Order: sequence, then structure tokens, then C-alpha cells
Amino acid sequence: MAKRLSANPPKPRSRFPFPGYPTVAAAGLYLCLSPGCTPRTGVTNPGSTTGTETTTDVQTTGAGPNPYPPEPPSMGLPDASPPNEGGIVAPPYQSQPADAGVPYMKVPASPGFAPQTFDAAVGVPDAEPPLATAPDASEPDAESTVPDPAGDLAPPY
Amino acid sequence: MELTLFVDHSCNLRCSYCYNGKKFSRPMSADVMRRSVDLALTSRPAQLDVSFFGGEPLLHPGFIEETLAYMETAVRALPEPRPRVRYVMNTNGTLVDDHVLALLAPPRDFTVYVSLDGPAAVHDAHRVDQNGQGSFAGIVANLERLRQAGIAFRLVAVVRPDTARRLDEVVRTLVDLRPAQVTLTPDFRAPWTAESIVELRLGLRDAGEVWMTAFRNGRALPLEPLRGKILTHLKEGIPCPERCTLAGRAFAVTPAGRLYPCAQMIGEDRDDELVIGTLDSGFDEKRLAELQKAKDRVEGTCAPCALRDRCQSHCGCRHVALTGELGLINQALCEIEESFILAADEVARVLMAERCPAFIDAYYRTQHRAAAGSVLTRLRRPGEPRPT
Repeated sequence: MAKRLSANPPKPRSRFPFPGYPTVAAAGLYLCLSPGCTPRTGVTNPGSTTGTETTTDVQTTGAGPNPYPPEPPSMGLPDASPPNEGGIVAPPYQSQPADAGVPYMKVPASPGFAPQTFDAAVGVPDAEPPLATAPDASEPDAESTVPDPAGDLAPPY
Repeated sequence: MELTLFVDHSCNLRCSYCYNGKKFSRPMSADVMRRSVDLALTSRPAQLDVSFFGGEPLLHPGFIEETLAYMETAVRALPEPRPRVRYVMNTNGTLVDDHVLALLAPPRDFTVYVSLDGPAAVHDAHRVDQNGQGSFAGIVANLERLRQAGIAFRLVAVVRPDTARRLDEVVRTLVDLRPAQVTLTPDFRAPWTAESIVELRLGLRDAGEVWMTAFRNGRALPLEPLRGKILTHLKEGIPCPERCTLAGRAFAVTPAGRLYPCAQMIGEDRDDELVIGTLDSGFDEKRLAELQKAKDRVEGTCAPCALRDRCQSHCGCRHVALTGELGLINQALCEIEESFILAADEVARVLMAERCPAFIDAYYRTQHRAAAGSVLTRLRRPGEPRPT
């Protein structure tokens, strides 16, 4: 018989796998001056104490140091950073074939692509300068990281 | 500022998982509506979002029309600068006629959310009418009417343990209907188990494949909450202004004139626990402060967690859905949130590795181009030295 999950939260995750794609700051791409949107200065640009200082630095010199330590090509593997401490021991992803019944399969790299570590010096290739045009009105607010207003406003199931 | 009008407790559907309790007719009066609008405008917001919720709001298109007319009159009467007004319709999508189309159509700024859980077999398993008949076919037909009227719609699918493994079918079905956005909304009240969480992860993995295919075809459809999870990494956390403050920037009003922090806390509007005031007495600041303090207990619970900055555990309505108490969460939230984060990261990792143009444009350029006052630095090519 299936067992209900605990009424209490599990032990907090002390670590989580590096997601495997760069932050916008690490990509040397952008910095938002809006209150609350400034990346953590101590991480993005150690030594800075205000968003303004960080911004100035990024505008003139590009992104600060990579906020993440170098990751091996296998970044994100559970053995490197055990997720889910105290919670469900879900099968790992990226490390077993899909037909083994695991939630996440190893996704083969595209031809010609080798997994790499993204750091501030790499950036996002082959891209033109971003345009300061208005976002598509049909899309959610461009800056919102809240998954969706419908998360709170969805019809009553 | 966001004002949610709980238009009526009545609904023409009987969804098995509805959290709003009994369906009874108590439509909001025009007087309650007008006083609610006046209250929302008191703070002179720069922007006011008026959301119609229920029950099924489109049972009362005349009320919707009256609200729109009152809003436009009330805003016109204000001195400059007047607030920008937007509208949100949360509907089951079964009641779309010519009158409704006229109300929702541009140039009025309406965001329309329609509940659709997936293909007919998934949707009709829960979303039925009073006779137990599924609602899928009628909704799909109405979506076509919306499209022909030039009304963009967003689809919301409730994800439950019994449907989690079929999320690839769900997302494929919804994407094929050409919405402006798809949102997967977990039912936090459902009986999640360790097994169903594994199914959720499998389902999200497969749904992620569907989403990636759309990107590879040049279509960057927003699929929430995966899109939001990617952004929390890109932006290194959830900005404070976007975190739930419990009535800090929004409130909901019931037909009885009672005020709640969030429409999802209303239910049958019989319990006083989460009421933060009435239209007669105004906001009960003392009670609101007590609730905010209770909600903030979750910050202590989650402070040590590595996922805190990417998780929606700050959302008060989720606490209520999960445990019935503000500030308290349980294992289901942690597992579900982690599942979404893992799935989102996997999609982003793969698409980034492929240098997928639609993904890069949507998440490394488009997403950030509109920030007021922001300065966007030019992207560098591999090997290109930093500017000095």
C-alpha cells in the first residue's frame, strides 16, 4: 500500500546539483537595476557592497567571476551532490538509461557539442546584442520569476 | 495592486478536486463590487489588476460587464497619473457565448485563464458537469471561438497523483491548442505518496521532452512552473517583490463583503480564520499582522535549504492547501517543488548544450530586455576576451 508523505518537511537540502546552464550574470549578458532584481552582489561580484557597484562593474567589464566553482562534465550527477536529503530517494537522473525506469535519463549531447562548464568568459555564443524592445504582450511579464499568476489565480480546479 | 472579485460560489461543473466546497448561489452584488473597486483604488496604485474568480465567473456576464464599466468610470475620475488597469478571467471555459467574447476581446486588456487538464481521458476524469458528463469537448470548441475572436488564452492543468505520469500527453494536448501559456498546477491537497512523486518526476521528464521539441521547432511557449524555475536560476533567486507578502499587494473580496489575502483561501467563506477585514470595517491590520507572522514561520523552516531561492514555499495559499495552517508546510511541497526544479534544469541544460536559438533568445535575451533602467551587456563569443 502506498504510503502518504510525511506531514513534516524533510531535512533541508544542504546542496543541490549545479543546474548546468549559466545565470545571466555568469553569461556576461545582463544586469537589471530594478530593486530586488540585482543578483547577489557578494556572489556575482565579490567585494561589491551595493548593486550599483556591481552594475557599474558589469557594464564596463562584463560579468564578474563565475559564481560557481568549476564543475566537471558530469555536473549535476547525484553522486557529486546528493539531492533530496531526508526526502524521497528518487532515482538519479542523467546517470542511467531511460528504460531502467528512472525519472531522468541521460540526454545525449547534440552532435558536435561537448558538455562544458559555463563561466563568465564563455558567455552565450552567436548572439546579437539584446534588444530593448517591448516583450510580447501574449507572454507573461518578462521579468517575473513567479511561475505564474495562475498559480495563485487559477480557476478553482 | 491586485483585486480579486469572488463573483459567486456557484459553478456549472462539479470537479472532483475542487477546494471551494459546496456550490451554492451567492452572487456578488454590484454594491459589493463598487466598494471593492473603490477600496483597491484608495491606495492609488500605478497598476490595478482586477481578477474575476469563483465559482464560475462567466455565470454572470452581466456582472462582469458592469464591473468593467464601473472600473473605467472610476479610473477616469481619478487625477493623473491614473492607474493602468488590466483584467484577469479565471474560467472553466464552458460558458463562452457572443456576449462573453465581446467582453473579453481586445482592446480591453484581458488575460484569460482556462482550466483544461489534458486530453479528454485525463480531463474528463475529474472535470465533469452536474450530470457527471465530461467537459473536454465543449471547452476545446470554445477555445476555438476565443481564438477566432482574437482573444489569447492561457491553459491551466491541475496535476494530481493519478495524472502525473501522463504529463507528456497533457502538455502535448495543451500545446497543440496554441495557447499563449500553459501552467501545470499541482493539487497540493491530493494524497501524494513517494510512488506518485516518482511518477511525477517521470511525467515531468517526458513533458520536458515535449517542451524541448517545441523549442527546437522555434516555439518558446511559456510552460509554467518550469519557465519560472529556470528564471530563478538565471536570476539567482526570486526577487523580493515577487515573494508572497500575504495581502501586501493583493486582496480578494467575497460576495459577503469579506476580505481575504488570497482567493484560494476563501472556500465557502464560512471560516473566520483567514479573514483580514470587511468592506464595512476595512482591513483588520492587527489580524493581518498575525497572519503574516504565522506565514513567516516557513522562513525558519526553509532557511537552511539549498532550494529556498527557487521554491514557492513562501506562498501562503500553498500552506493552507497543504496543511490547513499558514506557515506550515509538509514533505509533499518539498518533493513537488524539487521535481519541477529538476525537470526545468534538465530542459535548460539540454537546450543550452544544443545552443537552441529559441531557448537562448527567450531566456538570455527576451526575458531580460524590458527591465526598466537595466543595461544589457553584449554577449561574448567563446574565447572572446572580456572587455577591459
